[in-house]
Amino acid sequence: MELKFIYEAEVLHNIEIAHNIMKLTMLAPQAAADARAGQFINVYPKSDRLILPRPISICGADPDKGTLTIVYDVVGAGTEELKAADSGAVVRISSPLGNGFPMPEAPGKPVLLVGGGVGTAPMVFLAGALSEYGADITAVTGFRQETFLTEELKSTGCRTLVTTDLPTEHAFLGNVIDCMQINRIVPDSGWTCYACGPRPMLEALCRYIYGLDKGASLYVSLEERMGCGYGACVGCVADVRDGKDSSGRDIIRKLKVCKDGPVFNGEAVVW
Amino acid sequence: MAKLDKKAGELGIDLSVNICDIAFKNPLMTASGTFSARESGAFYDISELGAAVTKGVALEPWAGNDTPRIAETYGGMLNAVGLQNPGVDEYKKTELPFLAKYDTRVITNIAGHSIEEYCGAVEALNDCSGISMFEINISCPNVSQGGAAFGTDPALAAEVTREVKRVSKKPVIIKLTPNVTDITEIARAVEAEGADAVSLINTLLGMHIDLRRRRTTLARKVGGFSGPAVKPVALRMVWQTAQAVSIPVIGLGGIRSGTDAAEFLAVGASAVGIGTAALSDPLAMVRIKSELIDYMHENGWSSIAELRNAFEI
Repeated sequence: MELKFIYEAEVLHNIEIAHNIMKLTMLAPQAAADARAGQFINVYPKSDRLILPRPISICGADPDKGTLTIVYDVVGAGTEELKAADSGAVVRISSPLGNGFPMPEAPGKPVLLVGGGVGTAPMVFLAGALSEYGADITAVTGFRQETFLTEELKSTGCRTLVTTDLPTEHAFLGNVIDCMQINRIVPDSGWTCYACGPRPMLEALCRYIYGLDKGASLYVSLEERMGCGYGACVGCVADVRDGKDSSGRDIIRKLKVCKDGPVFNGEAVVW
Repeated sequence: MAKLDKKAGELGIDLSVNICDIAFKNPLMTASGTFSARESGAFYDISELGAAVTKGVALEPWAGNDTPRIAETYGGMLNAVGLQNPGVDEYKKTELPFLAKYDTRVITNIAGHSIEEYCGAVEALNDCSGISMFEINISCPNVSQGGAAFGTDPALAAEVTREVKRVSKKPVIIKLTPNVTDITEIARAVEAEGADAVSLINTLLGMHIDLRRRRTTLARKVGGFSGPAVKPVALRMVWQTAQAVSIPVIGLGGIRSGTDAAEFLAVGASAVGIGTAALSDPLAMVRIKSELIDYMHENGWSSIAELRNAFEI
């Protein structure tokens, strides 16, 4: 059994990188050493009225410096509280949680990263890991209008395509699927694809990739409203195909997004 | 011997309690539904617990409700998990053997849609030596059949208790719902049919609206309300029930500190359950135990009985 811990992490920077999108780097050496792309941490609010942890995906980890970086959307009282944490403040966090993205079977193969909005955060972490692994990376990131984390993606050396729903300079107009079609990104059996973003985007991507029927593999990171975030309460579940019954029908199980996910094989997810 | 028991020992404090002739090394129990052995055990040593009260398990696997199942409220939360569980066979194969490695008592919470299902699950688990007691959940607000339907009607609660007691080889705790006019009426009804203890409160039925999406936050629309916000209600009901019955009362509802636990013990609880606090803080069980020891030490009490006797309520 892998042991998990609660840490008091010191905030180093907490900056707004786009409207209500915050990037927070903290000193958390053990968490930084343990973190894998696709995992998240629980951030425990200080306010007595906020009793649930905020699960936030990891955008980067530097084990040498002992730092962990998260990017989050300010959507409510919990993330408002976190936004107010200045340098030197202490935040209570958990060990990295969840299963993270699996690496491709072999280096040198093409990989596709698809991020939607704040779902781009884990893709930055993954791009760094895949770049070290020696993958040939294409990243497609979609935003409503204001873009962020695109320079971080480019700095890992990956081909980066940016697309927005509303017109913006230096971005394609349209969704990530439109962008892939226009750019003739047609993943086949040599490809491993990874995605994190809103559920409709993930579903559309699954339809696109599996509709091509070229044998590409796809891993998606799901979001769900969580209770504990560590697998005790069974508050967050997703319908996932898990084998066949004796008459050949799919067995569909409600798996825990926080513990069994958040990364699932796209083929297994029931949308 | 777990570390914090050592701390109690060094301070000359005996935390042990006795419930239905079973010795518990301390009065702190997990609250069913918020504890999973492997997941909770990744954060702390389960041997620290007086008892591990496991998630409701039924005769057959249950899928639970649709998502979203969780909503946060002011100082509390709602859940509508719906007792998702893998069934007794899987429980015997995975959860029980895992818990057997720890030095703690196991209380198995049992879910059912019917009296036959409650009895079936009890019979399936009767011979498991790792289980000290059964806790019968007749109070879950999140299932449409069974659950709270039994817990809100004194006659049905009595009938479940009678039938379960007929088959059970272990002491039986009946877990009560607060969603009734007079909880003592239900408590007396189950005591009369041989319940060995009662535990309360299960969650209060609540609701939360997502203003942005203009619908209920929970897919099930309503769910069980728990957390610090419910503590005064829970404390009142535990006090009333402890006055009304002579069997042990296990008190729970919003406990998040050592002094919260002491308050429940003071109003007549023989032990306490801690649930939502473990979501707010995975280390809550060990922290609350340490705080209880400190509080007892500050007041010069060397046993739980001394603590209870010190209050005039």
